[in-house]
Amino acid sequence: MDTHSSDYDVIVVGSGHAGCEAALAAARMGCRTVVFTLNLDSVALMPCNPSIGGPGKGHLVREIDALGGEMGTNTDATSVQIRQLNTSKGPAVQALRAQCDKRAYSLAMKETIESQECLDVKQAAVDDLIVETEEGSPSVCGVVTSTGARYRARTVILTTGTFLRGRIILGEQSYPGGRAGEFPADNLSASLARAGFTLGRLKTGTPPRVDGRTIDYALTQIQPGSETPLFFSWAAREAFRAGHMASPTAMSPVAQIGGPGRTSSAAWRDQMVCYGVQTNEETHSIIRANLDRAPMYNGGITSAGPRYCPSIETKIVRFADKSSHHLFLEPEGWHTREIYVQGANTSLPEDVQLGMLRSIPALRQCEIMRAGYAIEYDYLPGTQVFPSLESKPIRNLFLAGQVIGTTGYEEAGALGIMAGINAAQRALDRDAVVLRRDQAYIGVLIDDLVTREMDEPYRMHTSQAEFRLLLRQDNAEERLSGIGHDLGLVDDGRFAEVRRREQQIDDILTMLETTFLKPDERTNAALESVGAQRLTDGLRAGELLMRDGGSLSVLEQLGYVSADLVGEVSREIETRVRYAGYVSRQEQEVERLRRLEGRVIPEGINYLDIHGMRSESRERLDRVRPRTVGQAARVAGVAPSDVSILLVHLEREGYPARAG
Amino acid sequence: MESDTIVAVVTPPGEGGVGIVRASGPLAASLPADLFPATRGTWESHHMRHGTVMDAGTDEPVDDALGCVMRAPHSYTGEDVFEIHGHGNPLILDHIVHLCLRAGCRAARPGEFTLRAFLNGRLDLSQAEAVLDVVRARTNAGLQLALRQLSGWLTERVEPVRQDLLGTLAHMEAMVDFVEDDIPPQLDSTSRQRLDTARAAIETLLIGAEGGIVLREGATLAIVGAPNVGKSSIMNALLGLDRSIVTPIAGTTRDTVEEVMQVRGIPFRTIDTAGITETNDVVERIGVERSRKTLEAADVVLLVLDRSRPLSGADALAIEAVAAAAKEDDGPRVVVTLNKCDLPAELNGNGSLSRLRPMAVAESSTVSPDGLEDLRAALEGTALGGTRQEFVVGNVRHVDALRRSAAALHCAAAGLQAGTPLDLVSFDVRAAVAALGEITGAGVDDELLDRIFRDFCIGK
Repeated sequence: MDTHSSDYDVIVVGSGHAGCEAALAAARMGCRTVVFTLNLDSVALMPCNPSIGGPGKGHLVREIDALGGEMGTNTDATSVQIRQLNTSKGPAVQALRAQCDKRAYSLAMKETIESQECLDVKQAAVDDLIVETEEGSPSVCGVVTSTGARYRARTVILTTGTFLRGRIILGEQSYPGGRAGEFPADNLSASLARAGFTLGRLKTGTPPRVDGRTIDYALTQIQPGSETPLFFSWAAREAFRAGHMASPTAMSPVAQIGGPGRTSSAAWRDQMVCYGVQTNEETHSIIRANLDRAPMYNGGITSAGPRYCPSIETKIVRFADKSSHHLFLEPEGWHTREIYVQGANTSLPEDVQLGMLRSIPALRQCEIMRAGYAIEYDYLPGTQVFPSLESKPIRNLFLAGQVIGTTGYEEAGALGIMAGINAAQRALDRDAVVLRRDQAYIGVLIDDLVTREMDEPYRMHTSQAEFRLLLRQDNAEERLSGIGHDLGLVDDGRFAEVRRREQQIDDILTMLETTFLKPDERTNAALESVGAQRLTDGLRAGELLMRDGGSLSVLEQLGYVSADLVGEVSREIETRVRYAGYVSRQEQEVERLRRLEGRVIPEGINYLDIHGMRSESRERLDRVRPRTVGQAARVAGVAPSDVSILLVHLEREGYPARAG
Repeated sequence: MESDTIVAVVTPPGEGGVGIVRASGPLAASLPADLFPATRGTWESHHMRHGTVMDAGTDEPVDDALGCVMRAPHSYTGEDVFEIHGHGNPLILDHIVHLCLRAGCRAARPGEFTLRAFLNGRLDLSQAEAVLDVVRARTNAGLQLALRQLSGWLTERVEPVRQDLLGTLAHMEAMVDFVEDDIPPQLDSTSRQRLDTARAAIETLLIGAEGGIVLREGATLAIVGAPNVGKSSIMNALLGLDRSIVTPIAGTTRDTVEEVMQVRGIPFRTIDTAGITETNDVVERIGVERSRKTLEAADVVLLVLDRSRPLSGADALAIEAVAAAAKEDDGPRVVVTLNKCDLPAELNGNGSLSRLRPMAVAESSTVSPDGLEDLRAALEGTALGGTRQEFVVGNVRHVDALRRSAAALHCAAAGLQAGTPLDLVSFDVRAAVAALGEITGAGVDDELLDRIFRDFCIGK
């Protein structure tokens, strides 16, 4: 078969959420890029719930957007509903969640990658990697497809999702499959094992979809979308501000963001509603009576599934005393009657699935359109990649998405954009970009993946981010768009606007710091007019915001700031002032961490040789092979005294710390 | 540069001739002013100066010592360092460490000076080797055994508190992270109650910790009571039995001599000798308010009542003065003794005693041979805040961690009260759990998710 000699800078295998972000980032950075997909009709498919966001996950989407990625824009362009979660629990944990039109999402992303300059899109099954030895270590330099075609490239990114030796399990049946109705990639799995990767096996699952015409909606609780405008992406937010189209409608499920002016003035956009129902004792007894037919319990499935995404049968078994569980009925799009039953993820046989759904009053007459199923797949445990997402066994090979043990579209997208960036950086002979834990959820995600040895798919939660007060969804632009801009992924106009807004915030913060309010009649009158307490002593304007009822609008009324200056940034300012004390405590911790992060561990270090360290710690460090002393300290089971010993070892072996 | 200042005794434990306390970090250069208030002039870098270390709290001298400031980067750690070279008595050295903690330092973890030195590129190979031996010794099973036996006691007590807090935190985090799951809401009032319970438990441990200090440094004692209830005979009996180890401490500026008596090995220093036998007169003369201030300075107040006669107006006045002092935050702990228990009981009005909430009530008699045993036990237990085996909390690092945990819980509870959003409240709870984890050797992150999944039915 012919060799397409040195055709590309970057080859991306897979066109899911990781693959699309990776391919777009590499191409937008000017690299000649190709993305291979098993099925061109499944680009950016959402095989589970067509929902984007939630705590932690929504933060990731904002960060992808701030780095110039696509997920936020694509969601805004194709959602059927959007809401803000955790509105009363503090700005750090507030997060957006959108329900998307599944077909529209896929179509819109397909169009985006097809329209991208420097990016080729091809349907082909990649069976093998071309690996050659370069400077004594194995290095990938291309791929071979199932038809024998060879493509060469400087770097390869694998984003193969659940396709590696995928096996679908539905009740008593089980058959090979990458997703329902699609073939798995079995050969690639074998060739990765040959190349020296350790493979693990994970499980995940999806619930049944029911026919929307067979639901009695009168017996459900309605969950409407947000009444105020909400957006994941900078593009949609700016378009809306400028009076242009920013959201889809039933008529145009893929919105032309920034297209013609908006017409609807009553509501900010069209949205669909979701519905809530509850399981009952009858549901539970049907499930209990059929546990012997549940692969999770009869030995049909042995691999680990995510604890945060248990099947309904697992929930019934583990929380036996709970008499009812919530289920949500969520539309999969404007132009389909398929309704996703969130909370009912299962691998029970189809007849049991139907029986259990029909025990719920609103679903008495329901018909299943697609049955739920579980899927088992091979993955490469994340400790086999560096924080740049380059694989340890093979140079120039990058991994992203479910293949390295995550779950979720957002996690995949986040890893995808970073793999795309770093593969491009390599192709361009530039240094890898590694985000820190105090800088982004993406940094937390990757650091956890490469440092912690996990036995379940990794899902992002806010509680995993120890610096989450610094990582708000609202300040993602400020945290990351500079990096996106440096890489050429964020354009000058947008970056200038981000900086302008930053400056505006700084000016107001300075004013708050330097302005003193006197307890005079004028001030107190203004305070009383908004129902706030009178002043008895003078105080700094900033302190006023810490008090009950103190807000920027009072300062506006007193003439310290102009309304149009404050307007769009007032929420941000109030958040910053109120969080200042906590944020500075977090920053002290960050400072401590940064010192350790600065201490790089040489690649060739032999951990097993470190004299005086407990053997358990030596083995753990040897498996994870951390790149910095800070990362070493985060490896589970490594104690502070081990870190001290490691530092001494580095010193003795002639890797002195930088002075100063 | 690190943002906090760490302190520890850096010479090996035991009674060497000289002991060194080292502090490193941004506060180090300001410590001389706190610790050597009478030593005037500038503290030039790398110059030893001689002076008296003073306890600003009691305004008493602690040690006659040398001090030396070493400015960054020319110090062991590369940061500003202050070293105090004192007498090698562990009690004195601990006292100096406590003074530094009070000035804002944090207790250093094992190997932490070394860590900072490394990070600042200050250690050469030979030093590194030497330090490695020490660090290695710490991880050496034999050497750790003794430590572990001691800290095992504390872990046993801290762990249930930590687990309960972890549960509270897991609930908060579950509410944040699993919005759409069936997480039953945790009411602020419930959370607050759980946080307060945990804080109370930690504070009890801290009283025990102070017990550890008390055992070594002694406690101050005020004896109060109406005339003729038997204060003098009790004091003389306590002193008399231990006459051989009574030592007058000179060197105070007052004319009076403080009596020190050993009760079951604990030095009790009586305060305000002038007033002791006439305390009730003092109460009448200067009023409840001023006597409250006097009594507040004591660690322990012993209120003596005569069990053989009904409560008098003078008794009531004494009770009132003690109650006023005891309800202050830093007020004394109260022991009540019902004296003359060899005579028929006539005392009534125990209701007014209950509002004193004494740590102990003991009967006593100065005429029967074992008549003071109950009182001795009560004084001992009260001064130490528990039973004797609990003193291992005296480890400054543990005390420091307990204090930080209690402070964080205080913030969290106050936050809940004030309607602070959950993300900030949970930040403080997390800090409290982390501080307790420093004692038990557990991190927060590893367990938090486990706990969430164990306690709550999560899943879409």
